[in-house]
Amino acid sequence: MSDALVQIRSLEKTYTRGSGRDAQAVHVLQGLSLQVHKGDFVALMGPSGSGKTTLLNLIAGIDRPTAGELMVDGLDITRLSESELARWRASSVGFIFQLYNLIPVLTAAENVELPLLLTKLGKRERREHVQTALSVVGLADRMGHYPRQLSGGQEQRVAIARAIVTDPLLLLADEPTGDLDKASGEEILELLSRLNREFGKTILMVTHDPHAAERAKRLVRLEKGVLVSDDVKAPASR
Amino acid sequence: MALRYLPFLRRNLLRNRRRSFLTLFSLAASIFLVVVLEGLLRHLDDMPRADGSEKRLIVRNAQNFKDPIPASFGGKIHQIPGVQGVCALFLYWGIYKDLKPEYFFPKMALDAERLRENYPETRIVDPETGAERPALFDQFVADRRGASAGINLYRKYGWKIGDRIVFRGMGLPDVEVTLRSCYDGPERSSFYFHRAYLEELMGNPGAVTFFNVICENAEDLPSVASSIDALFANSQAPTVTETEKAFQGQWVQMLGNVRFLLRAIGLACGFAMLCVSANTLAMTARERASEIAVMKTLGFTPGKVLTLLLSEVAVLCAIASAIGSGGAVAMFLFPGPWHDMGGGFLLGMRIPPDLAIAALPLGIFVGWASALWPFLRVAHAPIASTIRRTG
Ligand SMILES: Nc1ncnc2c1ncn2[C@@H]1O[C@H](COP(=O)(O)OP(=O)(O)OP(=O)(O)O)[C@@H](O)[C@H]1O
Ligand SMILES: [Mg+2]
Repeated sequence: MSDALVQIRSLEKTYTRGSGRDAQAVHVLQGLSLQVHKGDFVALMGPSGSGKTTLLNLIAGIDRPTAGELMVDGLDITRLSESELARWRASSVGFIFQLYNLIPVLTAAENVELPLLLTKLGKRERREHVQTALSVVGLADRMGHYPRQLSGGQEQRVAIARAIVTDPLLLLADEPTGDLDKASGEEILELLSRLNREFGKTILMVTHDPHAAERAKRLVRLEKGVLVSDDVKAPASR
Repeated sequence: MALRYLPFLRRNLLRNRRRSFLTLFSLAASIFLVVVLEGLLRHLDDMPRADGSEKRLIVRNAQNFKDPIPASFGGKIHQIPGVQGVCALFLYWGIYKDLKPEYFFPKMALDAERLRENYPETRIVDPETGAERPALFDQFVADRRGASAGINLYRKYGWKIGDRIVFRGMGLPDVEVTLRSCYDGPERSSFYFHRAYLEELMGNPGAVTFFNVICENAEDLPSVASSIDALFANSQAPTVTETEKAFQGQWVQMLGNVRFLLRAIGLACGFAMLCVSANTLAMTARERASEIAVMKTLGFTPGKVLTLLLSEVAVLCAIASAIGSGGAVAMFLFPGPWHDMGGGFLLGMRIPPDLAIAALPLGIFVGWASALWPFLRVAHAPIASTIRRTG
């Protein structure tokens, strides 16, 4: 219990669609509870519209729950102000988007450096961190490339480097292979499980692909805003 | 600390080069126009609305402007109640260098010692610096063959105090005088020398082209004018007396209209500038909404994002202002065809340094004013829904 990195209890998220008299409440998450332990690699599956992205965004602190408890590493992030939350994200969360979302005018190295600009690190240390992160994802030779000069798989690896460069507690990935071909997707999955295995990163990954979910140590299924199954698998075979 | 963001700023400014340059140049052009217009207005304001002129009368020959009137009339005019001072002037027709129009300027032989009282709005200045130097006037008065010229002539011909100036008379004696003084005022393009000296050269005919009469009160002007004309009605040279303002009347009125027009154009420019940049910046903000959401996901606070965006705008506007304002300064610093426009009244016009510098904060202010709303919105937009919407 005490080593739960993410502690969620009775979490609710309600959106209002439309406005005025036509306003209509959409109950996306309805009393969801979940614990994620340090070093875990969780795959989050479920039909479209079941609330996977919503859950991930809440854990990442880029959206706020309507009700319920949401603690990350013992910190109640629902109580943080907007700028406190931003600072917390900078140090604690690495987010990986389906569409990579690199800044097009910045090189790979500059993209990876971006979160480090918020730290106290000097120029040389920042460069070292960037080099390390890009070597971990196998792109040390593409530092000066712009996103448009990279393949989708490479872009996603740069995005992963950007997510790990600050050495966060938690990696959150929303369909990281959703826009990639099989081979590139495979590389990304291999990279994520290596980050979990070798670097002990706690990962929560949304995916539609059962094959991708295979890589995780634990599979959580979401349907209409509630958890419907939670399987802890035997340690990954490879 | 802020230095680390410089590459980021530069990359973003060069992100859409064509748009950045178009924005830059439209801003620079507007700033240029605003600075030039404001400079013109200041230049107009610098010509004090001749505060002596409403108290002055011009007495001339009733038959023909160029025909002389006897110098002896001066003493009689002085005795008319309400008259404060009389200055006799002789319009000298002579050629400086040659007949080309660029060498033409009015030359007047006058009672130098009367100048001060009759033209109180005129300042005696150093021709190089434009700073006041009243001592020069005494040197002019003391030297019978001395001369005083308007500062515009000094600038136009590169004269210096002490230069000898020679005129070939047209049906009049040649004149050779020494520059002793320089004046600046509403009128600054004439050449004055001693009437006593010209009289002597001409054999003392006692001839005057017109009298400049300054009265004690502006209200007395009509009665004094009719007294003067009545006094000489039956002499060998009847006179016509009119107010100096009547001469200038049209000019002053025109100036008023020009002033209004210039202000209106300046305002329109500023407004156009605001619209152009507001539109461009709103577009930029929209396009970058998802990137900004990503940066916020990485931990950038809305305040930090806003600071970065406003810094970009400030850099762009500062460059545009520097180009626009620098262009305006340069235009009036170096000789060009515009110096001869407006009957030479642009001669000697400079963009005041404070105006040139003020263009910088003005440009940045306009940029920020137009950027603040779209940028505030995008900086504070909720992250999750922005990414959901834009991908
Ligand atoms: N800002 C919003 N306003 C209104 N409804 C929203 C908003 N964001 C999400 N929703 C709704 O919440 C529900 C869950 O959305 P969510 O994106 O979490 O689903 P998901 O499981 O990630 O689906 P997918 O697999 O298609 O990505 C959907 O019905 C969606 O329409
Ligand atoms: Mg989703």
